Amino acid sequence: MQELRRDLHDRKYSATELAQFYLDRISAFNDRINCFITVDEEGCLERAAEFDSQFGSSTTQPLCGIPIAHKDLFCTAGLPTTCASNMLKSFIAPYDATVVKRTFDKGTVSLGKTNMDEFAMGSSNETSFFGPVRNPWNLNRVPGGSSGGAAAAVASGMTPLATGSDTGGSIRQPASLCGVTGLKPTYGRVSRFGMIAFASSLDQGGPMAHSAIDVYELLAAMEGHDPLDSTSADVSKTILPESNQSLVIGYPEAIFDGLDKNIAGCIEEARAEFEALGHTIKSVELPHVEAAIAAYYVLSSAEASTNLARYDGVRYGHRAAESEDLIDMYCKSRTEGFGLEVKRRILTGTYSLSVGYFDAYYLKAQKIRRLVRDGFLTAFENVDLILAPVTPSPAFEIASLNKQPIEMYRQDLYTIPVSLAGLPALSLPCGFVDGLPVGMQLIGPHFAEGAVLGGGIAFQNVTDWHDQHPALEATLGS
Amino acid sequence: MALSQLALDTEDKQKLSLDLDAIIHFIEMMNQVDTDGVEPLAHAVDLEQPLREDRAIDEIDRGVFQSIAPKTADGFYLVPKVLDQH
Amino acid sequence: MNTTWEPVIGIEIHVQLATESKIFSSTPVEFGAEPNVRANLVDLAMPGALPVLNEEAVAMAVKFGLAIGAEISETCIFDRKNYFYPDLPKGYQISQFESPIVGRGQLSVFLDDGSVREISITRAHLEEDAGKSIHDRFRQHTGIDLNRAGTPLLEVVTEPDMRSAAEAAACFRQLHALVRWLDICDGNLAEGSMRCDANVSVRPAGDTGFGERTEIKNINSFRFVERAVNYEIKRQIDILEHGGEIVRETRQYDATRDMTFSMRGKELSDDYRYFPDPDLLPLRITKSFRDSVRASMPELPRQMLDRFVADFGIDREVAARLTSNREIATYFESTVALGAAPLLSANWILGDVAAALNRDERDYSDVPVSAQQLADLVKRLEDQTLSSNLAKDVFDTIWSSDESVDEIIDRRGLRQLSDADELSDLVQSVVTAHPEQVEQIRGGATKVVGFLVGQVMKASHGRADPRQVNGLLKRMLNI
Repeated sequence: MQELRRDLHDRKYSATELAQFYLDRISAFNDRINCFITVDEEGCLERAAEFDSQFGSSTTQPLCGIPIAHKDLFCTAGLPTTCASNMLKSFIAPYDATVVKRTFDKGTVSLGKTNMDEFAMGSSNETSFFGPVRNPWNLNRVPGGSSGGAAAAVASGMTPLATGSDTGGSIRQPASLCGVTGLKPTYGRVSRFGMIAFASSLDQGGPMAHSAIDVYELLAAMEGHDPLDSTSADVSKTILPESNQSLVIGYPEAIFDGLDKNIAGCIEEARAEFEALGHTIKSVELPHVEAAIAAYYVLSSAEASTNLARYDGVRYGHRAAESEDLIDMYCKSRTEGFGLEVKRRILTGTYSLSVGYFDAYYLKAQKIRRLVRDGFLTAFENVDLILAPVTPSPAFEIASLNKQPIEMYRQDLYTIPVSLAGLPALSLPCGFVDGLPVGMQLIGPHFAEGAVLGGGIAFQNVTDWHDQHPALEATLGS
Repeated sequence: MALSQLALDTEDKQKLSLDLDAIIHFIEMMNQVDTDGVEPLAHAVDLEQPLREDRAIDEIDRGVFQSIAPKTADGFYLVPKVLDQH
Repeated sequence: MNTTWEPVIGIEIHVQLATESKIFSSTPVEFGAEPNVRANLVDLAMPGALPVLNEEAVAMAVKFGLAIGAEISETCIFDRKNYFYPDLPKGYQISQFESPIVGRGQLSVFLDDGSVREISITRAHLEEDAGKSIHDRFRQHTGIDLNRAGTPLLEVVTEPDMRSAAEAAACFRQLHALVRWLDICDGNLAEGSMRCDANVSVRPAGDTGFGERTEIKNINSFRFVERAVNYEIKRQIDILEHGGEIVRETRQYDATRDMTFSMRGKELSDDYRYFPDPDLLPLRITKSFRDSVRASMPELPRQMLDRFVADFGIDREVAARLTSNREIATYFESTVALGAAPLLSANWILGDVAAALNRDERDYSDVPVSAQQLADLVKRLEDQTLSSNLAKDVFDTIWSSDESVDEIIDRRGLRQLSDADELSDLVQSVVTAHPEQVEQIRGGATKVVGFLVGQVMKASHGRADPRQVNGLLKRMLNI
């Protein structure tokens, strides 16, 4: 992206040519990879032409003319926002999400909307109403989820920048499986206004790109207090990457049980790289990682079950063609509108909030959430950052886990505790296993995006894992 | 099912009820953790509710909102007749 | 065996707070607008829409809490109350379940017989109103209007402290007066600005436990509260005396048939799955916020009552009635501030003014006699320019005219006869004109004096002071 901006500035090519380049790649590869739900060719070229015509005058925005793709849960005025669901397949929001508006104001040119797991519920991008996304490194593998379309689009060079959202790992896990860099910001750093909710106390929008520096630049365009979101933080702590030469980096070896050996090897190498950079590695303990998955599942499903109650076929969205009465209309519209995984979560969530189960499930989960968060806070008394794996294995085969919900949920083992604790975490590539990229996480204290990004940038200055690209032309032709 | 307003066909129902058993079993893993005396945590970051100044903004375009509605008439959203008045 | 039954009643009042904008969105609050023109993307629960709390709604709730001497929560939480209904766009109502903003307080309720009941307020919490379902406009459909959705409500819940329908109605009326006093609600019952739910049970007199109760929903007038509760008390006693059992249920009052009927089966859910709304954060109410609300508050009825007693030397009971609503109190204070004697002003306001308002079905917000007019009237009575009879005449005139009291007195020559010579001449001429009656009086029929007084009053066109005339006559006739 840094190079694109330089080239645009030097007029090596116009914004229109740049947009056309990405549109061409989308039309060449999207059929097979399926990372876009909507491509806004017209809007994109119009906007690029606008920049070209004003070039040199008012084009001072930092991301001027840089293409971007928005995850299809960010509302975009005038363009469909489907959340990858039949429920919203023809929904056109009359408003922009704050993230969309802010990135637009910073000069980005939107290519369209990326595929995802339905309502962001999934870890493989197989629950989309618009079909699964394929991993650009191996088309039989999943790209991860729920921001699978965004990760695959960046990895396959269909966009230099993408927005994603992360509830339990939905930016970090697909970034890892597709070999790109993605950040889940601190809860409250990025406005949730206009971002269709999955689990309100966990959802956080964030940037995805090839490198940590690009991720930083996109985050700078997205973040900041928003009076339209009560949970948006008004913090002065900046996201400016810090270049501290001697950090203490926590290393939670105890949670490496069950981790793919080759991935563990990659993480070990990354650890050595950090030591070589002058940082100190220190062992830390993160309590209750296993129970955290269950707690996350209870809390996120409970919130989702009521967040999704608004899809009743009354004011927008899918309504069943025929119904006998109101209740019948509700039931049919919702049953037709939602896919299986969404229903599963609604039912689990409804159950865990019900009289008689509330204390044992919902409250218990909130208590575990406190233990998990406090565990991190304690760890951060002694370390500046924590280095951890992102996924237990590299990208798995499509349809290999989609009949086993629990196994699927366990894919988020390493990302979920961080989500429960509301911490910022950067997922960045750190190697390959069997030709598939794997990533690691740099986790920081609340609002320490600057430290996390600084660590990631330093690592990427001395490695080139983030510069590896799948050979799509060779595998797919172009 | 009634609370979630979902009507599942037999196949879905069977599939989901098997899943739900497994999910409940999975959830009960939480019981391994002693949480006596622990306060529940709703949000990970300790923030306070901001307040909005009481200023009305009149910028509503009913036509735009209702253009995406399944069924409207005379400015009302329409639903199948509700006989039992709430 | 005859059981005497004691009714036990508690009420819940939904008070629409008089904010400019809705509780969680910036939409203007307006009654009677075209359907759905007062519903923005937050009120319509569009995907991705989020609530942001209105500061004024919080301030109004705090104001109410301070006025009833309640504890204001330092931290309170907003919960989601989940149920499906088409006029509830999100599929849940944002309310407060576990931690209401206002805790326990007290309300002095004035009953018609002049007595005062202390009613405990259990709690008051903030929540959002739902929209409206219109069932009779379309043949095959119900129409949904979401203009009302998101209007701020303060739900006030009392303890079951009331023992009659009249007390329940009086409590509703008192809360109405209080929220109007505090200027946090327009009090318009016809537009649904205040709606009352009544929880009713009966028990054998002397019992301390509670009988099974029913809840009557959405009653929107003081009179209907009294009727509905009375009906419900009778219905319950009737069932119990026939060996039946009261079923815990929600009932509705039908004013045209003057009866309550069961809404059983019409509740869509009995498990609301309350949990803290994750879109909102804990609301902290600091001491400085409380203090600034307190500073903006008008003098409270109780404080004003004490002041009236101390400053004006009027009875507590009279002072209580003067402070039973803000309009009366303001009217009284303005009248006194214009120099009228407090006690006499109070008597007029609670007597003749009240009677005339009652006759014309008006209330104190809308008294046609200005404070200036009333003050002048009271002053002219005090300085004996007007006799009390003529004062009532003048009052009737100013009820429908802006003319000043002095102008009326001069125009109609109503100034009381205070010149002693003129008055004794008048008395003398009446005595001379009625020798027969004078004979009777001298023969011991002292009652006939009244007749002569009447004749003097008539001859003076009411300008004489009857007590003075009485004295003069007695002296003249040596009795």
